[in-house]
Amino acid sequence: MNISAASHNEVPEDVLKNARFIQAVRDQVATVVVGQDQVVERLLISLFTGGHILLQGVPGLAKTLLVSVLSKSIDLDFSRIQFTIDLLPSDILGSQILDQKTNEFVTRTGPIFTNLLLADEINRAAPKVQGALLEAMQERKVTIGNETFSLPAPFLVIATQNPVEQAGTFELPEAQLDRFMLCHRLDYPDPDEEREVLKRNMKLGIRKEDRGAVVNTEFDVMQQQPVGSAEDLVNCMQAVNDIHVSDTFVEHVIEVINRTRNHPNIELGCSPRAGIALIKASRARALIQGRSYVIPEDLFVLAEDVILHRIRLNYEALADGLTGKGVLQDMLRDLGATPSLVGREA
Amino acid sequence: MRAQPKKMRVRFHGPVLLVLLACWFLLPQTGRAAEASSTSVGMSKRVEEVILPGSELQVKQIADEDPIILRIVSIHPHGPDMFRYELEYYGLAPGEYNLATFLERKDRSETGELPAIPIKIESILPADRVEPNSPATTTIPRIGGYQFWMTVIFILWVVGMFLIVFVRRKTAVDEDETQQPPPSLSDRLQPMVEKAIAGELTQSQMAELEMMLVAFWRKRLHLEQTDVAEVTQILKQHEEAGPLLQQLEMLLHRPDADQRLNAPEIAKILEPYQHLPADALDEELASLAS
Repeated sequence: MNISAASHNEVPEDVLKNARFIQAVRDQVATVVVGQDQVVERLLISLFTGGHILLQGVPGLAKTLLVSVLSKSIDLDFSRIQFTIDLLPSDILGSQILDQKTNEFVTRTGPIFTNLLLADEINRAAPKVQGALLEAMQERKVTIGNETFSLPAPFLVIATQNPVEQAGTFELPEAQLDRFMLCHRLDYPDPDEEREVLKRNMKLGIRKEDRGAVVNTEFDVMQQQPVGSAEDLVNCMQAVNDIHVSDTFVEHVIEVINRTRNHPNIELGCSPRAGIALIKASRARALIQGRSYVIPEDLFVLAEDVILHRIRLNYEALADGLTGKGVLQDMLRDLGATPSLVGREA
Repeated sequence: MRAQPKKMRVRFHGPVLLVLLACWFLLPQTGRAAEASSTSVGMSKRVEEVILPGSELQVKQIADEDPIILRIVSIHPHGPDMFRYELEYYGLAPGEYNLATFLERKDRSETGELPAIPIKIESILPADRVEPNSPATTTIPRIGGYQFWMTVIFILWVVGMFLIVFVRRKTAVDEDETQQPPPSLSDRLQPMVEKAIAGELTQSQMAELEMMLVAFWRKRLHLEQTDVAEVTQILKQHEEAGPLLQQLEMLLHRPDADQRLNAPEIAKILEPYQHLPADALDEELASLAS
């Protein structure tokens, strides 16, 4: 081919810097969490685009550890809230308390005022609490009493949801799920990764504390030294914003979104927010993959995380035993194989 | 003088009246039973207070030729060795009959002398008409008769069936001709490639062409059931599909790519697909099946 790649070999310094930062974070996470490369990539995508992420997976897949090590790697504030049925919005947002010395109300901010907020088992909280959190996610502002406070930047909510244990939970409505840019489903580690997890766990040992000893956990052996700074993060966010999105790629996104709205097995298709999320996430993935432009591969890889939680199958499809994942896969396979829906509508 | 003959008249007439009265009371056994009861053919009638001497009676077994059907409604004892009967009958043929002849003793003893119970069955038909009129023998007309209409209906049914089958088949053929199946991937790919080489494709058509080529290679390499995210990575590593898709990506998605300027390059990339046989994929699948 005549297309020369020479110009692309001359990688600018800022691109190299971003690449080094991303690799350093991945390496740092890998020292504590075995495998889970996909989750780390999705978390970085969320971080670089400011889009919140919902992690679905059974307990024990190191979700909390992952977020914790990620926050420490970039030197960001981190809070974790375990959502329960009796949690109140003020437990998250904060409240006004009476200072008996001055006899005035003083605002005490809640754990939401952080950079990375791990909302553990978000579906355990009542809709009122979920609503308060999701409002803060959307507006990035919190009102306590009569005062409105801006949340720190970056502000990222990483929520987890246990899909197995559904007793005493409140299902997240579609409108609230739509607020999450990505919804990633964590799988169990493969046997090699499992072996490595067990070996590392056996080496953790114990430490002396007070008059006795405590068994070390992964949190204890985590390196506290950050490998990047908030400045690096801002640079990456800027770089994501500079990633080129071709008109052809936009057409691909429009086609995919349109197909979800016209699919015979889908009752609720994607909102325009899904298209925006797809492009944002693709740009971030392109940066992580070391590209300055998005390609269809980004769309195919991220489609499940961006689209699946935003669609709802109809009764006929559910009665036939179809799953959202299966329907989405079929729909993506139809791209190109069947005539375009965008062309037909035009 | 005048009173004496009166007494004498009483003396003379008294025994006569007593005899007459006694005779009157005896009449039910004989005279009253002998009164003929009458009814018309087929109409039932009851005869009450029939006192018959001897042991209890019952109706004889009815024979086919019996002109009378008799039934005993009730039986009551009536003094020593007598019974009072209530009878019901109806006649099948006109005439005068004695109901006593249709009775027999329950204890199978001889009936003996029974007082007659006369009845009369009258016919309401005229004297000269003893049987119903027999229907006149006529022949069914050939045209307009049962046979004719059955034949006509059968022919119409056969013709109707032929019409339904023929018309439906013709309609189905017409529909097939009007509603042609959507063109296959191979059918759609070639004209799109030709248009792309000529630089006549719009942005959305170019996007569709890119996806068509991915779908083409996915089919060709039999990756229909593979996860789409994996497919793109597999295709990129394929010796034929990989360079094509990567070059196409660079031309379509690179920041400095201009589709119009790169038209010759696009033509060069797509050249192998320009003369692709319409049934290329089908042949591929057929060879795999054999």
